[in-house]
Order: sequence, then C-alpha cells, then structure tokens
Amino acid sequence: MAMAGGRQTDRVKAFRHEGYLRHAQFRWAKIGAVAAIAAIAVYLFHDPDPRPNGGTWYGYTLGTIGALLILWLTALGIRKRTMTRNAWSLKAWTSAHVYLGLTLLVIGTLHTGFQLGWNVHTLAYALMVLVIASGMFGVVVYSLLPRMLSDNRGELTETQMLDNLRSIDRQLNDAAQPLEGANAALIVGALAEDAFASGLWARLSGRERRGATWLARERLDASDAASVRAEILLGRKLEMLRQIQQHLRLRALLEIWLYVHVPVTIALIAALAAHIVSVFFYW
Amino acid sequence: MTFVIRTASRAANGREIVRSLRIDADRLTIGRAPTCDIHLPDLQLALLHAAIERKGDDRVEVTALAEMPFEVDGRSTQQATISLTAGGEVLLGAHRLAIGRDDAGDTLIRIERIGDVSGAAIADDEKTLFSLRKIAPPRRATAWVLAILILAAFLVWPIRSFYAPPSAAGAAQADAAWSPGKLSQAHAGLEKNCKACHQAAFVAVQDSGCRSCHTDTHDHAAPARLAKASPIPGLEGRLQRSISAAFNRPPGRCVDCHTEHQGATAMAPTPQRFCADCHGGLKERLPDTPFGDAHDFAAAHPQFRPTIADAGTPATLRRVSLDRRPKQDNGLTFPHALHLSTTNAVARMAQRQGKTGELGCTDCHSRDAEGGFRPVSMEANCQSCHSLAFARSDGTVRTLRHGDPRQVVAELRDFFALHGPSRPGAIDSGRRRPGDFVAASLSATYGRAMANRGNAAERSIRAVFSPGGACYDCHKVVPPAAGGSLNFRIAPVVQQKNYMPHALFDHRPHASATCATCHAAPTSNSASDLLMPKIAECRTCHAGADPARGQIKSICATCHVYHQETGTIAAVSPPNQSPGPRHDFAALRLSKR
Repeated sequence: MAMAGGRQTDRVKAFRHEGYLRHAQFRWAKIGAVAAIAAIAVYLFHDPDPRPNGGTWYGYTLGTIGALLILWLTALGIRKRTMTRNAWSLKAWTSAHVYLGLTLLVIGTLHTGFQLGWNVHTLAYALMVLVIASGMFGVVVYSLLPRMLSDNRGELTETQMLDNLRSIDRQLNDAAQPLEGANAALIVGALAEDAFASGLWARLSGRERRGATWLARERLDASDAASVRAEILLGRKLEMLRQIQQHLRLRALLEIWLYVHVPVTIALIAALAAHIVSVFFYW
Repeated sequence: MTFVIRTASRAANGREIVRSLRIDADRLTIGRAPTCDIHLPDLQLALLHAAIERKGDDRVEVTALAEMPFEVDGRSTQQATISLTAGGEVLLGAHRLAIGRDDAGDTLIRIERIGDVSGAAIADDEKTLFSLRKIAPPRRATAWVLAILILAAFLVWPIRSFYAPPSAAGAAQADAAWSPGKLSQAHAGLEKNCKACHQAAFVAVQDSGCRSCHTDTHDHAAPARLAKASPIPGLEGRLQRSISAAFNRPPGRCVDCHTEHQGATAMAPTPQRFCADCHGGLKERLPDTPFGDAHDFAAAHPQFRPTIADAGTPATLRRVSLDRRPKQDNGLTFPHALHLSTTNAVARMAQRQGKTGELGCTDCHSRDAEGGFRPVSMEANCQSCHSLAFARSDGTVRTLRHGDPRQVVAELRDFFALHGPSRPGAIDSGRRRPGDFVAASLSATYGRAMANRGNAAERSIRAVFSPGGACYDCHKVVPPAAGGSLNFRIAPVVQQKNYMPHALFDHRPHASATCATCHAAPTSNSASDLLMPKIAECRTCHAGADPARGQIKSICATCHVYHQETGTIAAVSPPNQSPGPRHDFAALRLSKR
C-alpha cells in the first residue's frame, strides 16, 4: 500500500474520501507493524531449549495472543451488520481488521517455531494462512476491480443489461420467423443460450465462450433480407453476451474470496479448538 | 364444423390476455408460415408443421406434416386422435394446444405459449443472477460441514479412543494427528502409543511415565542437594515457576531436558546452560562440594583431577589435580623413554625381531572395542624381549612361571636338586702333568659345586629377585620378612584403564593425532610419571560452546553424562589378585534408585 505523501489539510480531507485502508493516517497499519516487529524481535532474542516451539513460555504467549486475535477478527462478521460513525466506526474496525489480520500472520508463524507436519496443529496454521491469504486477495480486488467493473458496464445497470439481452432475443425471434429449417434451428439454439448458465470455474477464468450464438453467426446462411437481419442481430447479441460475461467475471472475482474467507474462518476456529484442547489433553 | 381458437398471452404485469378466433373448416394447418390457419411465431416449429382434422362427431386427428413429432399427453408421436369429450393436450414447440369442446358444442383449441422466446434468465431471480450465490457452494453450509468434520476427526474421535479400551492392533490411530512431531529414534517404538507417556488427560507428562521403562536411571545427586545447588531464580524465573506449578508442571521433570517430538533423530544433547546454571557457581551454594566451578570448557573449567589408583591390596584411590604434578605408584619399574628410544639397544633388538624401526606405542598397547586400551600383559607384550628362560635341559628350554613368585622359587629349587653343575671336560683327561693347576682347580671347583647344589639354588633364587634379576627388572620386590627365608613376593601392580571416570573419553575420534601429542611418553624416564594430558592440551582443539574458527564446539554433554555411573577405574594385575571393583566416591553421593 502506498503511504500518503504528506499530511492532508482538513479542507482537502473534506472533499476527499478516505478509504478504510488509509483510515486515521494508517493508524492500524502502524500499530500492526509495531506489534509484528516486536514479536519478531522477542523471538530472535528468546533462545529456548532445545529449539523454538509452541510449548515454550513465549510460544504459549504468542499462541494465546494469536487465538484471541482470531476470535476478535472473526467478530467483524457480527460487527459489520451495524454501521456507525466516529472513533469506533465500522471503517475503523475494518481498517484494524485488515492490519491486525496481517500481524496475525507474523504471530501465528512465530508461534509454530517453524515446526510443521501432518497434524492438527499445522492444519490450524494452514487454515489461518488460507484465511489471511484470501483476505489479502479481497483487499486487492476491492481496490482494483470496481474501476474495471464500471469501465466494462459503461452506462448500463445490470437490469438494463438483462433487458437489452431480452430485447435482442425478441427481435431475433421476430426476424427469424421467415427462415427455413436449418437457419431456424441455429436461431433457436442462439435464443436458448443462457449467459448465466456457466459454472464457477468458467466464470472466474474469463475464457471467451463460443456458445450457440457464436455458432449461429458462424454458420448462418445469409442469403436473403431476413437472414441478413438475423445475422446482424446475432452480432449484437454476441457483443452483449461478451459484455455480460466480462461483468460476471469481475463480479465473481470480487465475491469469490468471501466464499473462502468466511467458511474457512469457521473451519479455522474448529481446528483451533481441536489444536488447543489436544495440546492440553496430551500435555 | 367450427373451430374456436383462443390464444392466451401474458401482459408484463402478469395479467392474462385471451384473443378468440372462429374458423369454419374441417382441417386446420398449424405452423410458422403466415399462410397457416393457426400461425404460431415459434422457431421450433416448421413453416408448415401439423394439421388438425375432424374425424366424426367427437374426435379430431392431429398429424405431423414436417415429420417432426409432437407430444400428446406426454407421449411423442406423429399422429394422434383426440376425443373432444375427454379433451387432450398437444405440445408443439413452445406452445401448448388444449383441445376440447366449449359450451356451445364447438371444437375449442386453447393456445398458450409455455416456453420463453429468450434464453436470458427470467426476471424473478435477477438479484442473484449476477452474483455467485447460485453457483458457488453456499457459505454457511460449507462452514458447518468443515467445522463438524474437523471437530469430529481431530477432537471427538481421539478423545473417545483415549477412554475406549485398547483397540486391536492395526486399527487406525485416532490420536496420530495430535502428535506435533516424530519421536526420537530411541522412542520410535512408542510412536503409536501416546498413552505410554501421556497417561492422564490434561495432566502434564510426569516422571512416573518415564520410570516405567527407565527403571535404573538414578538421580544426578540427592534431591535435597540438587535443590540447594540450583540457582535462586530471578523474578521472571519465579513467575514462570509459579505458573508452571499452577498447571501441575513441577520443575525438574525428566522432560525438561529430554524434550520429545523434535523429529526422528537422536535426542538432542542437553544444552550447556542446563549444567552451567548450577555448576557455574556451585561452590557458593554448596560449600562442601568437591567440584570446582565450571560453566564452559574454554572459559571456566577446573584443571583435570584424575582418579589415581596406587598399587596395593586393594589398590587405593585418590583424586589429585594435574596442577600438582601427581605421581602414580603402579608397582612397576618401567621407563617409557628407554623403550621408545630410536637409537639404543632396545631399538636394535626390535630390529632384530623383524621390526622396521624402534618400538612404537602400539607394540605394547592395543585398542579395545570401547575406545580404550587393553591391559599390557607379560605374555603378549613383554616376553618377546624379556625372556624368563633360565636353562636348557632334556631338549627343552626351562622357563620361570610369570605372575606366581612361589612357583618360581619351587621350580628353581627342583631344578638345582636334579641337575648338578655341568662337568668340565678338562677334568677327565686321565694323566696329570705336574704343575697343572688349572685342572686341579677345576676339579676342586666341580667337587665343591657338587657338594653345594642346595646353596646354588638359593643363590639363583635370590639373584632372580634382586637387582639384575629377571623379576627385578620390571617389578618391585617385597623381600622375605625373615632373613634366611626365600619367601619373596612381588608388589601388586595397577594398570589403570580410566583416569577420568566422570568423563567420557574415546580414543577413536582422536586417531588422527599421534599418541605423543597428548601423552609425553617418549621423555618419561620413570614408571611413576602420570602421562595424562592437562586441560590446556585439550583446549588446543576443543573450545567451549562458542568456538572460534577451526575449533571444535564442546559443550558439557560432549564429555559428561548427567545420569552417569562411575566408570571402571582400574584393572589390577597380576591375575591372582582380583581386579579392582567399580568404585563409588562418597563425595558424589551416587544413589541408585
């Protein structure tokens, strides 16, 4: 994240939207960085026997801090349902969530003492890393994609995109009435093509799909006025479909991280419970 | 006859609009072409798709004209007859034709579009259409499934198996996923048996678990002295201790030093700090200790204090610092320098016996399997030069018995009793010339010798046990108590195997150095010289925990063992004296538990 050049004057501030990342001149970024550096410094000076691990006094301390941090970070899911202003505004809370989440990555890693294996303890750590990584992905797409999304949609709302598509389809239907069997069958296929039927992977990958509409335009035998008109309409539909697909892809990228971040957080808390109980069960 | 055609369609607000049309004909055509009687703008239909023909009063027949089947009451067919009284439904493309009779008795065909023109999804789910909500796995359900699976597999199942009776061999191990790392090689057999050490739930591993296998491991010292010797912890240490104690983790458990689950290697040696904590300032806290303070081999370690065994019955032991240049009475007369010389008669004799040069250390000292040396023995190491042969008789060489002075005395007596002095040939020439005094004296000498055979035996015996005699060359002789007795004895001999019973020293890793690097044998002219190297000797290569470049890191555990029992001090020869016992020093207060 680029730091702000200098202090903004109040007047500029009043006109300028301050995002959750910049909140209070990166207050939480500074707090998080100091905490992480302090944790690393103590780790380097702490020289336990036979080697650093989660079971030294410092290991238990980091573990406790980490577990409490995880629970607090999870609380954003409840907190976000109410919007408030000022010091404990939702924006401040989200800012802290992002930066303390990054600090957690440092604390959790130090807590492992770099001892990893195929066990419940490393499972908890891996889930934590997955949650933080998906969160970082979310922060990145939230800052990059909205501009691309609005560039792509132009002036259209989502409802307008749908209406447009239906209107093209109706015109295509009318235009194709005089057509003979083979041509008519192509148009039937094109009309049946659903821009929203693609699966999750197809939506995210953004490969250009060559569906029935593309096929109809390729194969349509444009020999008379009616079929030429149908061909033009097919071209328009194809354009519309491309725009909708790009829109869907950007929206999918914008949303997908939450489908990892939220369920894996709950899985993490379960693994964390198993980790903590097992450690003290077999002490 | 009259057909009544009712076409139903829906307005945007969902209201149904019905248009009616009456056609008087016996046959109607249906299709996409505008010329058809019933014109349906449906691309799934052919231009001329089907015909409906009246057959008698109560029946109509539907026939496909473009060889494209249609559905009647769910069946796909190209021709169907429908009773007007019963009614029927025909599906053509995206249109449904309900055929029946109206109140006036006319044939009624109700037409309704059931498929959408556009494949673009319908309006009621527009909100979710553009989001992932419909195509991604639902978040809440995924969270529940993952959480329940994790808790079941990694918490419920292991805890249930802990309280269950031991399962059959080969059953899946529920608590395997709890292990934070592989056990050390020594404990590899316990890898699948967590309960061997983790005996009770939520109770830290206690020493009782270790003792169930390690039955003969004793304390380093008496617990009371240990407690007195340990340093008084600072504030942080006290805090840590009180927290540990609150969680039932008393200090001084085996696992404090022997940390497990660090990987399938040898257990890591105990770090130096663990020893230095007490031994760094032991004198202060334990004034009666015999040990000097030590906290690092290079920085602070007392001069070696070897345990010296002095010959006697039994051998006596003392510990003396090498700084005091102690001597050892091992009961022998043996100058190392003489034997290792490169220029004297010993070297010459070695050459005669086929050696390429002078004697070397290994000509007498041979390695044993533990990194030490076997005791030197007369038969194996000395006798090739120091012969005990004393006469030739009856075609054999007569040899004195080594290691048994009484046998030596008895043998010499017997020998002289049986064998007189050899008769000089000059006596038996027959004629004596006047003035031949030599023969006369020979004869007289021989005669005297024959008469004095017993005295000769006594003289030989005394000679053997006296300076210049075979025994006296190497041994200290204990003369008989009474003047005339021949009860000579040999002083006991000590050959010490180990001078440092509280340290580990293995000669094998030091094989690259010559013996003389550490042992000043080539310049030692007395058997009582103690040829042990001083600590400075070791420090030329061995640094402490923080070695300089090119030096060897040596922590306490390199040479010392916390639970060590005293090693064998000495092997005592001759064999008719029992070897030295394992010796416990009172000062160490070793107590086996």
